[in-house]
Amino acid sequence: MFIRYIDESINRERDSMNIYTVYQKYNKDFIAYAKSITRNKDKAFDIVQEAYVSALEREEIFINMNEYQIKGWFFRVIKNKHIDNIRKLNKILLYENDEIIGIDGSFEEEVAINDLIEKLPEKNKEVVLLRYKMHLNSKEIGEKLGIPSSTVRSRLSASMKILKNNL
Amino acid sequence: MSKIINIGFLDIRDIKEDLAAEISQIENIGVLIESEESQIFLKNCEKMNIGISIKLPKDMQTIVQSEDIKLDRDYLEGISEPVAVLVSGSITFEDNIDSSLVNEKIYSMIVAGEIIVPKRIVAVVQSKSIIDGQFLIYKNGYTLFDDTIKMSNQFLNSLKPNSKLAFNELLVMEDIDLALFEEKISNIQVLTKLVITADNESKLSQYIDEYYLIDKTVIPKGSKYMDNNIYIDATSIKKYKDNILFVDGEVEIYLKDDIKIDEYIKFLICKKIICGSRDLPKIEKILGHDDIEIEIVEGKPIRNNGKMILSGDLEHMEEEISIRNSGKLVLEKNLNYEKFNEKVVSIINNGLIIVPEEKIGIVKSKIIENRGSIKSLEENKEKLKEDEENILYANMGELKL
Repeated sequence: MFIRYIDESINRERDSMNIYTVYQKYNKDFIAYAKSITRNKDKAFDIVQEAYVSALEREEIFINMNEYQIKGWFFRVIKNKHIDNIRKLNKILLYENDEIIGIDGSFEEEVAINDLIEKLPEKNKEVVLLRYKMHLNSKEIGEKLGIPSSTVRSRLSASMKILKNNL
Repeated sequence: MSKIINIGFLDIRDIKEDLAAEISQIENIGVLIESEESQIFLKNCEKMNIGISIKLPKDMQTIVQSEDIKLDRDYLEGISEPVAVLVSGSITFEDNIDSSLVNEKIYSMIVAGEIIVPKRIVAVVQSKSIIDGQFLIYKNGYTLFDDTIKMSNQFLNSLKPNSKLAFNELLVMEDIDLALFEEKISNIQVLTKLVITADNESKLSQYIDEYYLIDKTVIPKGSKYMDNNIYIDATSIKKYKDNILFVDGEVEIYLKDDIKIDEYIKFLICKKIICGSRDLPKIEKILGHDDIEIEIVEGKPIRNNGKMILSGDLEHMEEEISIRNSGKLVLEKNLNYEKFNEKVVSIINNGLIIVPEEKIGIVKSKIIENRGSIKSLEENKEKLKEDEENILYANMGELKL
């Protein structure tokens, strides 16, 4: 016999679903979600495909996951790949007091900015990350951290000044 | 020093200082739940690829579910203190819940999947949610069916008069009694997808809210509807008996010479046909319209949607083959690559191919379309070995430390 089909589900007591079957079952849901965030049909197909290939490359991480956990993983990775694609365009959007400041930067500048964010005081760093990584507004950040939204905005403002001065 | 890697939900709020001191790296975490204290203990720990990081009070209760859940009034009223809800799957809010109840009982929600809510509580749910997935809103006062429903006269008979219904996905393919429909249905809302026959469309579209905005597929009356890509060969063709076949996807066809496809399928409507040049004249006779894309791929198709390993002499491989890989294809060192090169006409790769480093060239020469990844066996083994070192916890759905 020269071809062996490995049916992962036979070996798994916990769940009969694996990355292959979850991907087949929910493929249209993933594409619909990707379309809703990318607003572009071709990009949506691409990032769903990238997410699937990422899953295949790290098959071992799904060993103890059930169908819903695998599905959740796909949704997260699709969103993260979309964010990565935006970053790759080398545009950094920073929010300061609800105004958008756009900087066209090189890859080296982007890495430098990420390093600078890491070195910010903890209180400043957390608001910048919640704004920049998770796209929350000032009110949402305030609720998460238990501080007034005005405090969020002043910390963001201070952080932006530090980052700009050090770029 | 150790690593924690590949965890779906990781709750480290209560981590002890001596354990935290052992951890140098936390990597590939879906949701990381921290406290003030854990952030201090792990300030020198490298955190990489964290999907969502959230700080919660140490004493806050969490509801962690890796499945679809439904919340109704009774469920929320049973919660004594505000909770954080973490779900991999879908979370559906019933129509009997109001904003104040959500505000009182739910501190925050993190969902990898879907949130389905009635319109009246959209704002409060959104304000408390971080979602990786879809947010679906149904109208107030509508009864929600969050699965795929096939509408039939029997289904209509079970309804109260003048029902307002919301469907996640709705199929209307049977002949519907219009008088019965008008008696039972006041309005229909479709959240994601509608599949409807042309004659039902003309009768019923006026009862479907925002009909023009819905993602819909209109099919000829009497069609057999297939939601996904299908493969037709000499065996599987026998289940189609003089059908009009409507496939919402691709159709791959490989037939023996003596099979006449038009004896089984009257008309075929789909997005794309994949076949060999030998089968094309037969298939063209049954195509339902001219806009169907046709891709010619020679060789007998070998399809992989899971995990496939090729090894040995390939002594039973007599005809030429075309490999369509949508899974994980591993070519082992002891594979007869000379015969592989001779017999494999083409490879379409939408997955992962792992092949010995020195044979990558042979594989790549067969690739006619690659939307996946091709890696060397050696690189793959090294990566797995690297991941095995110094692991404290790995590959788990949920972990609380």
